[in-house]
Formats: sequence, C-alpha cells, structure tokens
Amino acid sequence: MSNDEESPTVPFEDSDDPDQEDDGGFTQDVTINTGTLPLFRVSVTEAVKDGLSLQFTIMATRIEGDRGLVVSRQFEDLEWLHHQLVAGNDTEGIIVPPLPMRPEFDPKSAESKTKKQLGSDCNILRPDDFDLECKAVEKYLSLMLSHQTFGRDKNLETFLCEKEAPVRTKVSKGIMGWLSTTIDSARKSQHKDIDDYFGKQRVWAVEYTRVSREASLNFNKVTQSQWRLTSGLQHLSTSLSATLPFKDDSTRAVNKLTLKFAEAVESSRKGLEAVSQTDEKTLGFELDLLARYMDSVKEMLFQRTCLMIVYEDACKALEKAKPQKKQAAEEAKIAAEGAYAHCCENAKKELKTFMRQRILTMQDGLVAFTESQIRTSRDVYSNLVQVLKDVEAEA
Amino acid sequence: MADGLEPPPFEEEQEQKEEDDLFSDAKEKPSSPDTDASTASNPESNADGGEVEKKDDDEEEEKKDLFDDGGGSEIKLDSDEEEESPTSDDAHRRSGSGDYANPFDSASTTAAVAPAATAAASASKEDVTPQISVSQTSTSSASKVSGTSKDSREELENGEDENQYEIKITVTEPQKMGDGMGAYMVYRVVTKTTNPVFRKSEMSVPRRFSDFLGLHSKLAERHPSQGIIVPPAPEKSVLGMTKIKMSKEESGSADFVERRRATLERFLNRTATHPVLLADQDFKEFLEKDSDLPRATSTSALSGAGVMRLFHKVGDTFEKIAFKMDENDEWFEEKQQQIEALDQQLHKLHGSMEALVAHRRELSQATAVFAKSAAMLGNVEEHTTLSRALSQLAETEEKIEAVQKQQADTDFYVLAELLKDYIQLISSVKEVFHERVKSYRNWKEAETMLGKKREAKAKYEVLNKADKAAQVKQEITEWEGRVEKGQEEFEKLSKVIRREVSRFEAYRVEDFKNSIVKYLQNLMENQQKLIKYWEAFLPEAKAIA
Repeated sequence: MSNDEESPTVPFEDSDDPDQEDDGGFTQDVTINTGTLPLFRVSVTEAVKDGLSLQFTIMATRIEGDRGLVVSRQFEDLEWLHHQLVAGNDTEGIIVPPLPMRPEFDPKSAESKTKKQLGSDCNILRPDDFDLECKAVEKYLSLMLSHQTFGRDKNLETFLCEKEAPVRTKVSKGIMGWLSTTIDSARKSQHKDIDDYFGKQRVWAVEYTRVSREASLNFNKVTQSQWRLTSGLQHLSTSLSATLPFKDDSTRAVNKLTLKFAEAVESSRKGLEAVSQTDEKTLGFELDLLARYMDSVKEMLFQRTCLMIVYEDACKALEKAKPQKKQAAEEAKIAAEGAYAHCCENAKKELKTFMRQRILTMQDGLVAFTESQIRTSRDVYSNLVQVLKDVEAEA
Repeated sequence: MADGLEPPPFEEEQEQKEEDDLFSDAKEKPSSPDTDASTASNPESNADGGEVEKKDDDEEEEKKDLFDDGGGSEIKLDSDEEEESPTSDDAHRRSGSGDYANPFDSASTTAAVAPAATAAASASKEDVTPQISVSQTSTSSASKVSGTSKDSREELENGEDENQYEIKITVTEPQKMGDGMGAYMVYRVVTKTTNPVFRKSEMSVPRRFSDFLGLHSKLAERHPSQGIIVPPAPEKSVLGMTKIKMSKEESGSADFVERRRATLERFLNRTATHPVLLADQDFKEFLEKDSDLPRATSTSALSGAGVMRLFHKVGDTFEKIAFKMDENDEWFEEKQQQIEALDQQLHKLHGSMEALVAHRRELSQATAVFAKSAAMLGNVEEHTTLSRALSQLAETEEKIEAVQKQQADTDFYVLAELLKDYIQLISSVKEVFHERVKSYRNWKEAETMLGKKREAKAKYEVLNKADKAAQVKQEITEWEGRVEKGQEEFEKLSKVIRREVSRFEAYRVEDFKNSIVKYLQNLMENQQKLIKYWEAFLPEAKAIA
C-alpha cells in the first residue's frame, strides 16, 4: 500500500492503535524515497518524569504526508540512535550534529539545580521545567533529519515512528580505551598539517571551541545570577507585604506606600523572571549549541588529521618499502590517499555549511534575545509609571 | 484666646461620650505642617522660656486630676472639670475643656491636624470610659497643645513662621588628613538657610568626624531626658577607618567614605528639621563657627568617657529589667507595642534589602565577565558581521553592567541605609520612652517616701513625741514638694514625648514616601537605559546575515 491510497485520517494518530495492523504505510521503506530533506517535521512537546526515566513526547509529521505520529522516548534511546547513526554511516569529514546533554531530573539534581539558580538560602524547589531539554532534543532531531548523511537513515525513521523504542545494547568504550584515545589525540592534534587551509582551520577550531564554551558558561552564570536576584526580589516583596496591623494614620499611610513599593518590586521580579526564561531559550541555547557543535567540529578535524597521518605514513612507507612490499605499500598509499581526499572534500563542504548555519543561528539567538530584553523592559517600565503615579498621589 | 475652640463641640461631646462606639472608626486626617509647626513652636517658646509655663500648668492640673485616681478608673469628664479648683479661671476651664473638646472636634470635622498616633485623645477618652477602644487616630498632642490656654492661633502662626525657614545642609569633600594611625577624615559642611537665627544665610565650615560624634553625644546627653528624639549619628567603625588610615592612596575604600558622608549628611539634616535641636547652641555653633571646634576627645572608642558610657549603658539595661512601670496610659502602651513591631519589621526589611544589594552586585559582576567572553568570541569569529555584532554585544553588556551596579548602589544608599537610620531612630525613641519610665519611677519613689514620712508622723503623734513629729512634718512638706515636682516632670515629659512621637511618625511617612519616589524614579530611569541600549544593538544583530 502506498501512502496515496490511504484515506486521510486524523493528523496525529497514536501508533499503538490496536485496530490498525499497520500504520497505513507510514513505515514503508522510505529510504528509497529521494525526496528533499528533511523527511519529517519534528516537535518535542513535553518531557515527563516516569519513575526513573524522563520521557520525551516526540511528534513527527511526514513532510509529504499529512499524518503525524506521537512516540515516547527517553534520553538513552536518543543516545543509542546517535551511536547507530554515527556507526552506520560514513562520517569522514562530516560534522556530526552534537547529542544534547544528558538531562538531570532526579530529585537531588533538581534540588541542586534550584540551589544553583536561586541561591542556597532558597527553600523552594523550582518546578520541573524541561523546556530547554525538549528544545535541545527537537533541535538535534531536526539537524539530523536535515543532514545529507543522516537524514535518510532508517534508524532515524524507526526512532520517530515505532511505538516501541528500538532495543539498545550497551555501548561502553571502557576506561583503558578512553585513556589511550586521549593520549593519542593529544599527540596527533599537534601534528603539523600538510594543507594550509586545514591547518588554519584546526588552529581556529581550538580557539573558537574554547571561547564559545566560555561564553556559554558565563552566559549561563549571568542567567543563574538573574534567577537568584528574582528570589531576592521575591523575599523583599514578601517582607514588604507583611504590613503592620496598627490602625493609626501614620502606620496606614506607610503601609499604603510599602504595598505600592511591593508592587513595583513584584513587577521587576516578574520582568526579570520572564527575561531569564527567554534568555535561556534564545542566546543561552544557541551559545550552548555552538559550543557543543565546536566539539563535533574538532572531532571531525581530528579524524581528518588521523587520516592525514595514515596517508603521510603510507607515503613514507611506500618510499621505504622493499621491492617485494612495494605493491602492497602502493595499494595502501592509494587507499589512504583516497580516504584522506574524500574526507577533505566532505570536510570543506561541511565547514562551509557550518559557517553559514552558525551565522544564521547566532543571528536568530541574538535577535530573539535582544527583542525580549526590550519588550520586558518596556513592560516593567509602564508598570512602574503607574506605581509611581499612585505613590505620588498618596497625600 | 482660650476661646480657641467654641463651646458647642464640647457640649456635643458631653452627650457623645455616652456612646461607646464613638471612637471605634479611625478617621484619617491629612498631615498638617501647621499644627506640626504649632507643636514645634511650643518647645521653641519653651526654650525661650516663659510664656508656655502657664499652659503646662493648666494641663498638668487637668492631668493631675486624671492621674489621681490611678489608671483605668471611670472618671467622668464633668467631674474632671469640676475638680479643677486651684486655678479655676474661667479661661482655664474652657481651655481645659477645649483640651478635651479638641479631639472630639477633630473627630467630627476634618480640621487640619497632624495625623499621628492616638495621643491626648486616647488618654482623655480612656478616663472618660475605659471601654471605649482606643482606635481613634484623631489628633495628636498637637491639638492638645493648641487647645490650651494660650492663643492657639498665635501658636499656629509662630509654627508657620518656623516652617517657612528652610535649611539645607550638605556634607562634601571628604578628605583624609594626616598619616598612619593619626589620620582622620575631614568634611566640608555647607549650610544654606533662610532662618534669621543664623548669622549668615550661607555657611561653609570644615569639620572632622569626631566633631560630628561630639555634637551627637552632646545632643544625646541633653535632650532625650526631655523627651526629645535625637537622630542617630554614624557609628565609629574601627575596621573601616583603619583601612583608610593604613592605605596610601586617596581612593581607599571609596564606598566606605561615601557611605559615611551620606550618613553624616542625613544626620545633620534630620537634626536641623527639629526645632528644639535646631535651637541648640552646640548645633548652631557646629554649623556656624568658622574655626575648628575643640577636639571632642570623649568620643573616641577607647577613651575614659567611652568606658563610662558603656558602664552607664549596662546600668541602664539592668534598670530596664528591674523596674516595671505600671502603665496606665493606653496611648503609651499601644505606642510601645507599635514601636516594637516597627523595630522588628525594619530589621527584617533591612535584611532583605541587604541581600538584594548583594544579589545585584553579583549579577553585575557576572555580566562583566560575560561581556569579556562575548568580546573574545567576537575576536576569534571569522565572519565579519557576526564578529562585529558580537563585539557590539560585549559593549552593550558592559553598559548594562554599569546600570546594574548603579541599581545596586541605589538599593543601598536610598533604601538600605534609610532602613538602618530608622532602626537607629527607633532605638532613640525607645530611649526617650525609657526616660519617661525613669521619671515615673522617681515620682512614685517620692510618693512612697512621702507615705512613709506620713506614717512616721502619725506614729510619733500617737507616741506623743511632739518634737520628732514636728521634724517629720517638715520632711513631709519637703517630700510633698518632691512628689508634686515628680508628677509635674512626668506629665511634662509624657506630653513632650507624645508630641515627639507624632512628629516622628509624620516625618517617617514623608521620609519613606520621598525615598520610595526617588527609588522608583531611579528604577524607571534604569529601565529606560536598558531599552535604549538594546534598541541600539538590535539593528546590529539583524544585520548579521
């Protein structure tokens, strides 16, 4: 059955509808489909704690259809997907969209998150707000879906469409493996480049990763400071609202004034809260994504460096090869050269795309960030105007 | 003259007093500088001596009648009037009635009287019928005073004259003089005034910090015992000053210096608004005298005088615990409660405010750090327009940081310090209340003594020891005098305190209002600045791609 023969039904059907044997051709072999990417439009509407896991609700709509599916996935599923995408595709020279950070949602981390944000003297817990986590997952899936290399991967489709999450197998590199990789990369990253362009790119990537990571962290610190200030403002407005119950003229007059003042403080607080939430979702989000993407860029360049070293070694080996080994060495060199060249070609494209992407997303982030500052300040200002009028009117 | 108030309201009131509910709804009165002034003018005239004496006597007589039966007894207003025998001048009687009529008068009219705590009104009400709840917030002792024998209108005029004079004091140019441990701060005190009592309308004198403390300690020695609330002076801060003394450059701890300067300024201005304190010779000299003032050595923390002060303070504390006054004046009882509650509230607010200041300072620091990161990011960024936008972002964030810092400063100087001032003022108020307790105790002790002497006389008479009896009789006369004086002083003090407290309360409302207005204006200004900066940045952000 093809999609076209299906009568249009409700846009979002639950894929666990028992009446349907299959989901109307939804999971047909789409990899044959050579339509433009992305094949799906994705949105992550919420994340809910379910016992020990955090379940993301992911809605996917086929671009070329009108039907959507809703699935529930947890972070480990996303991790597994990532592993499969990377392992199952040729990623040489490819800047892999970075996996989001593992979300923290156990009570202890919720508490520590709140404390970090609201200050250690705050007794309340900030209600679970996984907006950022949802946004991060959504972004990741969109990036993957839009990527030439990954957009048509079957695993991606399965992830989005199957009711049951694919079975995961443990992926562990082990400590020793990790250790050797680290030492390895440290040594190799110092290796001089044979290509001018890439040489510059590598240097730039190291610098840029560092500054973008720092900018992201410091931006988050500002936001946390803002959250702490809101709790301070809350504290003050509560204290102000506890007016004295005496009925004499001067106490009543002072009470009126303090309540008006409390209004002003509340207005400031609400504004700051609103702006902080938007900050996290705009510039904060983009800076964080940028920093993680740079890690991916560095990873890609490192892979290229490795291939380059293999190629270099193969060339040297060929020169030094004894006649009987010459043939093998020659073959090795050609193979290495091919891999290296292929990688460089991809890398150049990827870097160009990344540059463009980076500029656009930063622009979006900065514009949204700035507009929210302006909007909120205007709102707070007009509230204050009213409060001031009221105060001055108090004889 | 004594007809400052018309008879009719008084007659009215005679009927009204039967109704219990008369004073249960508090009426709000607009603040009146006039009546405040009239109260204010009173001590002025007191200081000048003479004319008010009679007035006080009248009131005391009335009060004596009030207090004779002890607190809480049902004394009809009529009977009070009748008992006023000694100086039953018609005028006095009417003034006496005017005294009582006044609160009722203002209850029914919206005459401009000072808004304040329940004052004389409650005292008289209480004695009329103790059941009447003292919730009426009508007149203060201001009206009581103005209702007395002297021409109330005259007083009002005097008062107005007082308030027409302006005085504004600024403390500027803090300078460090000397070096090392002997170093000290000197300030320039500039006074601008229209008050003719000063030799010049503009004066500028140099004063060192110990001069301020010296002035304050003289005022604090002299006036609280008269019931006057003396504004607080900054504390000696050994730590702060040591830092300044030890630091080589001029700009050591600029914050500390500024804070101190502002406190000194507030101290002087508050003192100047009080008519009694303004008239104080030492205060005038402080503002006027061109040359240096004699060193106030007793102000140093470790001096002999300092130790004596501490000693007295400890003694005072014990006193407070040991003697519990039999408070029969509802006004004072309620006031004490109010003052306590206010004290606690202020402490709490002050704590919140200080925490807020700390948060703001933290935020501005974080913003500064981020601004630098953004600048670095812009430097490494290859794409030109994004790079420029990021640099602009860094600049904008720096401007934002300046705004945040300024906001923190305002929080501090406008509000936190204000709260601190009031906390100290409250302790001055408490001190004044305590003086009243001391006065009461003196009076009661004299009464006890008198009682003993009388007993002794009776005993001697029974035992037929005529010579001893005669001797004791002399002592009795002496002690009777003391009792009378004790009561006089107590009542006078109570009256002054009532007036002071209502003055304080009216002042507090003004002060708070002004500070809040200033704070809100600043808050609004800062929001405008933020809007301006971000609007300037927006086109840069939009122009990236």
